[in-house]
Formats: sequence, structure tokens, C-alpha cells
Amino acid sequence: MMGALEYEFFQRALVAGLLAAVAAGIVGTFVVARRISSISGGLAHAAFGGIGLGYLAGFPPMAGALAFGLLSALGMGVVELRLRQGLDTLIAMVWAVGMALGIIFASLAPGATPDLLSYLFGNILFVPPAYLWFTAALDVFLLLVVVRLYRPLQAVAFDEEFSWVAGVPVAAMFLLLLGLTAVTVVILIRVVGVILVIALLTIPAAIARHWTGGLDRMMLLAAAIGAVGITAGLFVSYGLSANVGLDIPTGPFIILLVAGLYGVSASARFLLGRRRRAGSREAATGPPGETSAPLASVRAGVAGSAGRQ
Amino acid sequence: MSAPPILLRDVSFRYGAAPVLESVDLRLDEGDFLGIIGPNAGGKTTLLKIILGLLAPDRGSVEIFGRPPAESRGVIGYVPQYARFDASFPIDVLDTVRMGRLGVRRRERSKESRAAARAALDRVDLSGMADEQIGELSGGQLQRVLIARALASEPRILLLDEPTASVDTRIGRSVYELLERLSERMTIVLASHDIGVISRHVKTIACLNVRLHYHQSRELTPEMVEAAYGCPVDLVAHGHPHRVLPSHESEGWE
Repeated sequence: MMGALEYEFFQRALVAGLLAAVAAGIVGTFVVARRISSISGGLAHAAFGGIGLGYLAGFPPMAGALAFGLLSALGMGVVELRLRQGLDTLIAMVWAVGMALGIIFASLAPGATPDLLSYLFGNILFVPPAYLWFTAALDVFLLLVVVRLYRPLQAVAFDEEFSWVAGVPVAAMFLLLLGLTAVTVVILIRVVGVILVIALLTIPAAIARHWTGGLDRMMLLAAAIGAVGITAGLFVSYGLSANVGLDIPTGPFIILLVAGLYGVSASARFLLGRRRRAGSREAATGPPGETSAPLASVRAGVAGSAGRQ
Repeated sequence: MSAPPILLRDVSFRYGAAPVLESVDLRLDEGDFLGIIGPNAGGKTTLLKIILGLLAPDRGSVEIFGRPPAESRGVIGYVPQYARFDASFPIDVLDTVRMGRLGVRRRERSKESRAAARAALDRVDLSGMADEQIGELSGGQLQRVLIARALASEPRILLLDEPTASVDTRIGRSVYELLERLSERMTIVLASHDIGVISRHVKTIACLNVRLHYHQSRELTPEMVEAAYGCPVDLVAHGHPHRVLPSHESEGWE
């Protein structure tokens, strides 16, 4: 199976996968903690509109994807900050609108309708070489941002109201989080495809949450889990193909593997019990007779007044 | 004379057509400890959010030490109703309390903010819980974590929204005793529906039900309660015509 490493396409896929796991671990942790996991699917499909426009107007489709992804993310962020519409609703909207625009732009393009969907289904075995560098740069950028702004980002993801009161630049941090998510999703679409992006931004962070608290530890663990899943998936699917003649598409195989890991992790978590739940409960119940005396007197007052009527 | 910590002039606020606050005037001086009581949906949380600058009033003005709330961020410590945020978020107690330090000194070193957070946890008797995930705390513990978080910012004003709604009497009492000690150093506003408990600890009391009824004393007049609750005074009274709640020194409730 190690023979796989002799092939350049395999080496490239492995490096791309490991680099993607880092970015996905960082961004996925925020996305899962903030409970907006559908944002990866939403922004990927919002980017689809940009791919269509790129075809129609004759500029690189991935530049259009990046622009549409970023604008959708920032647009959602601004609307959410002003109107509190709910990010889940806005995500579904940009998802549908992006697809609609992509289809319309493609239909307007002269000649045969291009197969835009192929852009969404990038294949980890055919990563364009330039994207190795893009992904490496993305990783470095994400690490710098997270190291430098960890606490304000954590605060805004957790409790926007208090963060604002404390003096954190909430709008800037919120838009930064969404913008980072958009750039990550769009770059990773080309590397691993939309379906694997959704999986990598969700499942490793969800597994990490089973075993640790704290965004920093979740990021490390999620990146490691993603890396293990991708590596194992690449080798096993190569091995099946080379030895048994069974050709399973690698991306979907990785997804099933990581989802299987989630199943194992969830079962183990369930069997081991929730962490120290019982021990951390304080004796929250006083003697029964101690129920709020003032309330009791109010009730007595109510009874009294009712009796007089 | 310096500007008062909180000064509201003729503040009104509505959600759609429904008035939530009407012509609220309020002035608090340094060291004041105000309890605001009133029915649910009477506007208590809205009033606190307007003081904090989280909501802008439709009419009227708000000044915190003479400046608009948006320019006074970090001056006020805020203890929200604990049920209002996601307690399953992956964050431990110490990091939660350190949020209070974010606005204080932007470039504060980790070591210093940790020390300040630990000191704040000490003050609410939770020093042993620093590494716990907030999702694993009881209601009373979480409530005290939120108070510690507000204290960590070394605020000059402390606003608390129903700080004892989710805790039992014993913990509630320890929260109020802590607040009484704190009130020697800062201005405190406390919103609660728990008339009896609040009146034993605060210095002055106000009734809020769209309009604010406030006479800068601790006595609740029957008119205040009736106006605020829109119900006969003897719902909350004990029969004294004017003193509807016992004073601090009189025989206790327990």
C-alpha cells in the first residue's frame, strides 16, 4: 500500500488533504461551536453564482466564486448584526440564491451550457498544483489570525451582547469569522470538493467536542482527526483499487470513514458517560422549608385578598 | 460636580406598536444601589439594555458619566439573565470570566488576565471551578460565574438582570450579600420580579411597568406598586397602610 507514495498524484493528494484538514479544523471548530454547520454548504453554493458569472463574463470562475462567497458571508453578517434575522435563515437564502444565479448565468452563456457543477465537485486526486500553495497560505493566515485574536473571536462566538458591553469590536470580529469561513470554503471546494468540505468542517470538530472543551483544544484535535481520516481514506481506497480491483471514489470514501469515526466516538462517549456530570453538581437544593419566604407571603396576601372579596 | 453614573431623560422605547418604556427619567449617583421590580414584560430587561447601549431609545437621552453608552463600553459590568445564551458552548469557567478583561486593557498579558479572572472567581466563591466547562455547572454556579465575569472588568457600574431567578434561596442570599459589599464601591442596578428579597438589600427601589415609578427611597408606596402592577396593593402588602414591605431592621422573613 505504501507503493502509493511513489505516485505524484497521490503525494499531492496527501499533502492537499493534510493542509485542508488544518484549515477545516480551525474554521470547523468555530462553525460547530456557533451552531452554524450549514454555513459551509450555504457559502459553497453561494460561490456557485460566482462560477457562473465568471463563465459568462469571461473571468476565472474561481475568482468569481471567491468574490460571491465573501460577499455572501459579509452580507449575511451585516444583515444578522442589524436585524437579528437568524443566521440559519440567511444561510438557506444565500444557498438557494447562489444556485439560482449560477444556473441563470450558465444559461445565458453562448454555446453549449457549461457543466458548472463539476466545479463544486473538486476531486482530491486531481488537485490543481497551485491550490497546494493557496491552501498552505490559507493555513498560515488562519493560524496567525487565531493566535492573535483568539480571545475576542472566542468571546464574540460565545456571547455577542456581553462582548459588546465589554468593549470588544463585535461587528469586526463577527464579519472576520464569516469572511474566514467563506475564503476557507471556496479554496477547499477546489481542493476536495463541496461534499468533503461540508464533512471536514463539521465532523472532526463534532468528534473533538466529545473529548475536549475549549476552542483551542478542539481546533488541534479536529485538525488531527481530519488528517487521520484523509490519510487513512487515501491509503485504503488506493489499496482497495490496487489489490482488490475495487474502485471506490476517494472523497466519498473519506467522508464515510470520518462519519464512522464519529459513530465510534459518540458510542464511546455515551458508554463512558458525560464528563464528570454527577460530581460537578453543587448541592443546589436547600432544605424544602426554605422556599422563598417573600414569595410565600405574597401568596398569603393573594389568598387574603381573595378571601375578602 | 462630576456627571452622574446613569442619567436617563424622557426615554421611550417601543417594539412595533407596543410601548415598552414611556417617558422614563432616572438619575443614579455614585454608590446608589437601585432595585427595579415590575411584572414580566414590564420593560426591565429593555431598560437595562438601553442603559448598556445594546438598544437605542426611540426618544430621550441616555448618559453614562455624561457620555453616550456606546462611548462608555467597559464602564458597565453586565450580568445577563443566564438562560439567554448557549450554555453548551465549548468554554471553561476561567475563559468565560476572562471575557470581562477584554475591554479593560487591550494588550493585557495572559498571565495578568488569568490572575484577574481568578480573583473575580474568588469573590463569588468559585475558585475551585476554574477549569470546569460552563455546560457542567448548576444554575447557581453559572449565575455566579456571570457575576464574576462582570466583576472582572472592574466596572464602575454593575447591572444585573434577574440574578437570582434560577437559584435557590440560600445561593440567592449569598449573591445579595456579595452585592451589598460591592455596593460600597460601585453603583448597582438590579432588576428582579422578586419584590421581597430585593427590598431587603437595595438602598432604593423603583417599580417599572412601561412607566418608571421612583421616589429615591426604599419604601414602596401603595401607589407605586398599584401603578406598576395594576393590581390592588394588598397583593403584596401585609396590612400596613403605608409600609407595604418591612424595613431592613424589622423582623425578618425567615
